[in-house]
Amino acid sequence: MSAMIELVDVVKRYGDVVACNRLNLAVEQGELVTLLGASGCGKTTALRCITGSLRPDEGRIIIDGRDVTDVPTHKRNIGVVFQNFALFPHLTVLDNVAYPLRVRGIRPVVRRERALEALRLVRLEGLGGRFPRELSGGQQQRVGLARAIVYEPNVVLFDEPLSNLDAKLRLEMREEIASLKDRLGFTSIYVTHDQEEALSLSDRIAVMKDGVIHQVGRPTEIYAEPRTSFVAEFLGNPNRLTGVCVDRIQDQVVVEADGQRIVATDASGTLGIGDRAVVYVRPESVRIQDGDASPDETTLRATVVRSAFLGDSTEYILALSDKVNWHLRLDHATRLAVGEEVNLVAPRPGGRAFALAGSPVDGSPGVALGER
Amino acid sequence: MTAVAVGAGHRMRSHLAPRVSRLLIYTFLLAFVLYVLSPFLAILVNSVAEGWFGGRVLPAGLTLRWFDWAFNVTNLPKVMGNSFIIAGLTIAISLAIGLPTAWALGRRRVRARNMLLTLILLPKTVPPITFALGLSREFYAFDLVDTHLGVALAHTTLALPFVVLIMSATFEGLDERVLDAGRVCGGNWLRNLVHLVLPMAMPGLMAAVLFTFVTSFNEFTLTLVTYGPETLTLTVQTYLSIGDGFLEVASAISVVLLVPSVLLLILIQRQIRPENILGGVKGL
Ligand SMILES: Nc1ncnc2c1ncn2[C@@H]1O[C@H](COP(=O)(O)OP(=O)(O)O)[C@@H](O)[C@H]1O
Ligand SMILES: [Mg+2]
Repeated sequence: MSAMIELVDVVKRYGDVVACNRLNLAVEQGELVTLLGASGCGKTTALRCITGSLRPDEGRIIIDGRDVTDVPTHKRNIGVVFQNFALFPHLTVLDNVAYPLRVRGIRPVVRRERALEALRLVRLEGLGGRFPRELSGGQQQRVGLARAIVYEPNVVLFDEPLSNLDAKLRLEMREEIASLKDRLGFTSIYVTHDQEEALSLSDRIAVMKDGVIHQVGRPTEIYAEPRTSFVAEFLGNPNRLTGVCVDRIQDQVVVEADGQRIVATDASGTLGIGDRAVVYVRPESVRIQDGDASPDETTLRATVVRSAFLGDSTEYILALSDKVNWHLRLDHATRLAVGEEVNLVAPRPGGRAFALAGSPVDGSPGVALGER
Repeated sequence: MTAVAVGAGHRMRSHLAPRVSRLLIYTFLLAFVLYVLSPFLAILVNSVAEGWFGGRVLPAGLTLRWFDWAFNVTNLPKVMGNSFIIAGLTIAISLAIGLPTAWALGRRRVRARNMLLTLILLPKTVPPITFALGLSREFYAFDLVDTHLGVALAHTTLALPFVVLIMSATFEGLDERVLDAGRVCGGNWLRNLVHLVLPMAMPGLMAAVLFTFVTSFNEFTLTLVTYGPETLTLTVQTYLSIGDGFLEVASAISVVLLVPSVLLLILIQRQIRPENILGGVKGL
């Protein structure tokens, strides 16, 4: 396997803002890599550097072994699906889809044939005569999709293609994109701020913050073994416990907060005894104790503060101390009453610990997280 | 009992009041329309009337003689030709200068942008005759008097603000992301211009061209100080005919003069709507 898209030390500044700060990323042939990050972290800027709409201040962009850093956009042969669809308002759906073929000088007959085929692929046959404004948002994005793949580019980029669609449609389009990619085998960089979208769609995810890629890895890897506290916090809405490292056994540490102890993996491997630390615990990795805890588990005491019925499950807010709230989803087999004291059982290790620089131990952002 | 009385009073008001106010509105509207249209009516009748003077309500007879005179005595075809040539040149010059200016103002971050717009609007804000006076001096200096180009250049000073204002708004309304999509699809700048920018800006461009045409075609003050025997236009010829005492001939020329304006009015009614100019896509 060889890298199809390569970013090498890409830097892009807007005045004082560093939108992309030394991005390095290699996307293999046929792979779909997601740039995941909050709004404003530089995802679109990175994508625009790849399409050539922006010239990076530093670094190189390599596509299919060719350095395209100084190649103009129209010669890069990349398909792009835009967040706001960016269809040509004065052209019919068919002409929109045929446009990339038209500028490539392909004969009208062939052009029409292939545009119709692309429309069939996105299940829009029969709507070719309409204008973009006569379509729903979902249909418009399908046209955008057809226009991006009609000339069979090796590389298709997606810039938050689903964020302008409503929730149900988003799910449907997600499937559509996945199946299209399987059938056509293009290489993709997919930009989104939606972690569920990223986790479900990607071969690998690059988590970004403030123009920096924090971690690149398979979805399961990113989710289970976040390397920075930002990644841990960004994915999966974890519970937090902020305290002091009181013991260390190989790569695991014991963190204590308000008399409660939990065993966690030391993610950075740098925690010493007495250091302040934050532990991120996945809600699904703890359970309510019904019998005795086994030796390789630790127990935490908690009080039920609130409950919210969610249909298929109930979410409970549990107070570990007067400053720390955790949330936990339980099926209806377990019923807890507000005010009830419960024992929470966490495995060893029960989460991942990160060094907490500066902030006081009981500044406890965990409260805000739990009460959200 | 009281309830009935109140109800009746209510009904009276709700039935009578709208009828009265509607009547008032229609009366005022009719008066206004008559007031505005009466000069045109007078010109129309005058252009085909025989012996319509001295306070007569209706002319003594109808004739096409005045049009005949207009065509033959005042050489209307040539005058009309001049008007068209000058309007055409005005359009060409206004677009040549106005489109790049509008693009810069609408698409690029231009410093002192408001000051530039004010400068462009300047010829429109000073009294036309003052402006004409200054212009005529320069035209003599550059030997531009009595040339089509000269008159067109004078008209351009009036048409250019229209073009720049309409087109900078049009260009500003173009979605950069759509143009970006054009490049991503493989189109170079020329294809983007021809296939995307031009059609998307077409409603605004049509408006600019039509306004420019009518501005030039109807222009009088600046034409008066720049025309000559070879560049006589319809407006000036109308004026000269009035001066010669041929009111009917002047009316006949005026009727011809009116045609493009009326056509434009109809076009505006039909075509130039905000949604056409902006040409937006649903959901943006
Ligand atoms: N044209 C621009 N001029 C100035 N700053 C910009 C421009 N485009 C983006 N930025 C800034 O760069 C950063 C990254 O933006 P962007 O790449 O659009 O983020 P994302 O797509 O992840 O939401 C943001 O802080 C944004 O404000
Ligand atoms: Mg973005």
